[in-house]
Amino acid sequence: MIWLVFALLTGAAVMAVLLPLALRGEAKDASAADVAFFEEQIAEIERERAEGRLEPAEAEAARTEAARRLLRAEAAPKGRSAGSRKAALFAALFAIVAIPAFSVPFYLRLGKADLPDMPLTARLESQPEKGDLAGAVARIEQHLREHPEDGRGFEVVAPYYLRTGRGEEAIDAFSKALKLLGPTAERHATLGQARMIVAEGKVTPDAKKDFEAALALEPGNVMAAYYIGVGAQQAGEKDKAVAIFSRLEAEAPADAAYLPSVKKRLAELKGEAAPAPPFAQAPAQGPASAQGKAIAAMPARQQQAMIRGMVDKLAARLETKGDDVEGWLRLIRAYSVLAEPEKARKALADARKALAGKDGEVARVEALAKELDIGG
Amino acid sequence: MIVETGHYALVLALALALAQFAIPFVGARINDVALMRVARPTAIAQFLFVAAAYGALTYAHVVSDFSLVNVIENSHSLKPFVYKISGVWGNHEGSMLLWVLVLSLCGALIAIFSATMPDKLRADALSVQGLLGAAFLLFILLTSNPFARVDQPPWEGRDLNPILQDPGLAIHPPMLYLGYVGFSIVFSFAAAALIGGRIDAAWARYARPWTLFAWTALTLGIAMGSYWAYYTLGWGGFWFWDPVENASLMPWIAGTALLHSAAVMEKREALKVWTIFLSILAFSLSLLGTFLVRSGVLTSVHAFASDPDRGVFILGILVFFIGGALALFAIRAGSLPVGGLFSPISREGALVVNNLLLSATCATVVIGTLYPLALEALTGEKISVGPPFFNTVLIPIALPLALLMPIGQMLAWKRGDLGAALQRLRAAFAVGVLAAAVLGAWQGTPFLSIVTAGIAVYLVVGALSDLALRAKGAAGFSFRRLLGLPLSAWGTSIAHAGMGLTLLGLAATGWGVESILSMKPGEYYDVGPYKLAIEEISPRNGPNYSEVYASMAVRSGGETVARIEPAKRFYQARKMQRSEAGIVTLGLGQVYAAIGESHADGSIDARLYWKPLVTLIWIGALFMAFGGGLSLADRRLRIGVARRAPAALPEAAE
Repeated sequence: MIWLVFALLTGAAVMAVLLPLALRGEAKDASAADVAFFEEQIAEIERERAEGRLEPAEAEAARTEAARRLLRAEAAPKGRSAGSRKAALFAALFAIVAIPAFSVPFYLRLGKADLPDMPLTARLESQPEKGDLAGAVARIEQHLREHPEDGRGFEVVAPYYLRTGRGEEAIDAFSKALKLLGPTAERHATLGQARMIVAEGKVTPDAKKDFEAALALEPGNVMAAYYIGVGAQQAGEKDKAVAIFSRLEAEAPADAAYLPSVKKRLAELKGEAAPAPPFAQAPAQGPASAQGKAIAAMPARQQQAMIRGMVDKLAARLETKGDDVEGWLRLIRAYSVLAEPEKARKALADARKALAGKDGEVARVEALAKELDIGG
Repeated sequence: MIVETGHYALVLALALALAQFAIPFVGARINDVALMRVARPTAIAQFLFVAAAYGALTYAHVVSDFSLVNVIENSHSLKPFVYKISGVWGNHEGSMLLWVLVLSLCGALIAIFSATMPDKLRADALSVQGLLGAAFLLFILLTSNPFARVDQPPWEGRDLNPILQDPGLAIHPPMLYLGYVGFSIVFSFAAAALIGGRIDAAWARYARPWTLFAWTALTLGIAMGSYWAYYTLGWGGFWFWDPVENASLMPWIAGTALLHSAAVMEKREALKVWTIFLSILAFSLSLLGTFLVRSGVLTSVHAFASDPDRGVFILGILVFFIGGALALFAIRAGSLPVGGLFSPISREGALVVNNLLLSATCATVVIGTLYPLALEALTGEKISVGPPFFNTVLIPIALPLALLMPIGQMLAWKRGDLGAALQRLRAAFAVGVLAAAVLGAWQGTPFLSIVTAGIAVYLVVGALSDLALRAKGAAGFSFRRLLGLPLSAWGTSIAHAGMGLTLLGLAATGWGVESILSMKPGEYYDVGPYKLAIEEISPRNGPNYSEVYASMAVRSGGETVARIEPAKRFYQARKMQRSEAGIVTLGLGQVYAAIGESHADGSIDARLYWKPLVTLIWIGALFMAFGGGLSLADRRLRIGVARRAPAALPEAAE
């Protein structure tokens, strides 16, 4: 179909050249154009004189000048030029052959004729592909633009925003969900947590308000209580923080996942600061990474687990797909930060093997090994 | 399918441009009329194909087709509709496509409106135009293809640079390009005259409307650009002598000179060679401007060196066309006939002085723009040539030029009487001096503002008094006679008066008031004759941005005369901030406010300006463009009448 359109366009382009070649005619001689010009000029002078815009004397002077030039133009040798059939035929053949012969291969080099238009609305209406999270979110966004009263939609996209670094939008979506679906402790607490993550782990006044609202609805809400404790700790209200964490510790079931973080907080507050795990202060991947922020804001135990998971995933990926110097660098650094020199050394050896033959990349790995002092 | 059809149309346009170059050129050499006439339909077809490609790209932007790299990088599905359309030219690839669209439009216009032209001149002119088109189409397709696609389209684009999301940008580039590229027509005519080895008497007549058209569009484009910079950049400045701005000013100055020398050529057949030279120069400077803006040289000479594809390509085009035209000029100029003679004191003489001063201005701007670039490229040293340089050099040229403008208008063609001309400007002189005295007494220093304002007022009165004097026949002033004056005379006077108004606006910048301060809500702060107070600071959401705005009341004599809302906008997709100035026009002046950081105690940093008569800068430009339009509308022949010539004139003048 598209090639039919292309063929028609090509035909039109060729016709633009052929049409004038088919018509016969005589060229307008250059001196004829001059003659016409001066004749017109003289007529113009007469008209102006008649309308009274030129004084007779002025008009006379101008007329003599134009007339003199007219005579000279008329005296110029006349060159006639007509079309020759042979040249026209040659040009026509040239156009018929050259235009498609140039355009089609040139286009094929640049274009993607079989790639259809992809207007956004059509893509949003089509069946989503499996595992295409971004596409699913785009569809929900589209739906939300048409139905901005659908709080469930906001609740679904908000955590996605938070994970992909769109913090402000996450806060916006969480608060809309809260407003539209009605307040619950859970919603207030997650909104407060989102605010905290955007503020790089600080319990801002807004976040605090949310946690307090959550507690007002459900006094036993652990997340809200925990973060209010963190806020108190950040604000230097030690006694209040200790009171909150102690209560959480007392009320927690023995196997609660948050218990270790609460204990660690208490230990910090009571001055018997356990050495913080290495990633607790280190910004994970630079300040721009929301995931890093999210991790930094998690309780310490969860942090460790999360980081482990990521590192394991990275290691597994590199095992099957070793041609990724950035990946290796990250893995080696991660093991060394997690204080696992064995694994770091093994990763170094694997990296050397996987990147064999790429001197520049191996050199980068070696440089890192030297920096971390895990040579061997 | 639409997108790829557009892509293919662009390739076909290139093929047609090559045909438009080669076939008529050969035809003109072997004197074959059929081949020469291929020029017209191919020029029109080339335009239609480029327009189809441009339409396809616009379609892709409007429907947010994120399979195009160009759309991903410069659009966002939530962007307002107008900016989806203006976003097409708000980026490198799209703006080059617009450039070529306008170029091919110019070719098509020559083809349509050239019925009376000798075949050979038209064939050569369109052939040159075709070669220009081919060069830029090749540039687009090889280095800046707007139709580049991705197989896995993302779901959202990266949005257009917020600074460009503004109505000013929607109109500014197309106007500017009409101007830039409009000069290509005159360039092609000049090249055709040189290739053909003859300048027809009617050459200037063919070239004049295009010169006027390009100049008018460029005037509007520059004025719009400067107003846009004025209200979006938030610094209250309207001209920064920035290389991008200079890039548009250089062809404007050359074009202004060309406009005047072409008038001499059409009326008196003098200054032919010089006019041809200016025609080449005006477009060469447009190309230079395009090169400066589009090659990346400006961001850094080194960035250009590290990614040279585009820059080197445009540089090649630049060298080929400018060098080629100048070489042609060097070879042929000697054999061109020299036209009518004139005495130094005459309209022609005044226009020569005008041309000399404009050339000096143009050279100053070129040097001021290129010198820092050359220095950085050669020695790595970064210097910035800014207002101090340009003001020091240009003011001493511009003020005498302004003084001469009405005098030139008063002089007769061929030989004039300086004394009589000055006498007829008595009133204008008097009003100018009076204005300087009154403004000086009222506003005070700086001295330069007073002098400039005086000259500006004299220029306005002088330009208009030419009309009045011409309407005064033997039977005294006649209103009918005034209205019956040719449109071109009106055009001249209005454009000159517009220049005067702009000059007055520029002079008044010396009397402006600026204060940078921290404003507390509810308190009044002095700005010139007005007082400003913040009534409210609050956030607000736009379609693809969120903003904090300050609602300010402008008071004069205890009464609120206006309310402005300067704002600070944040664009989520690009994570960029942009300030939106709050501006209100009071009389001819403006109160201008821009807000900055807010503080914990509720106060907010702000820059407040009172700019007396500032709108005259752009009103003047509108008058200039209007004058250009009037002159363009005058389809009659221009006749240079030797007005004061004594009856017994010796023939020495020819």
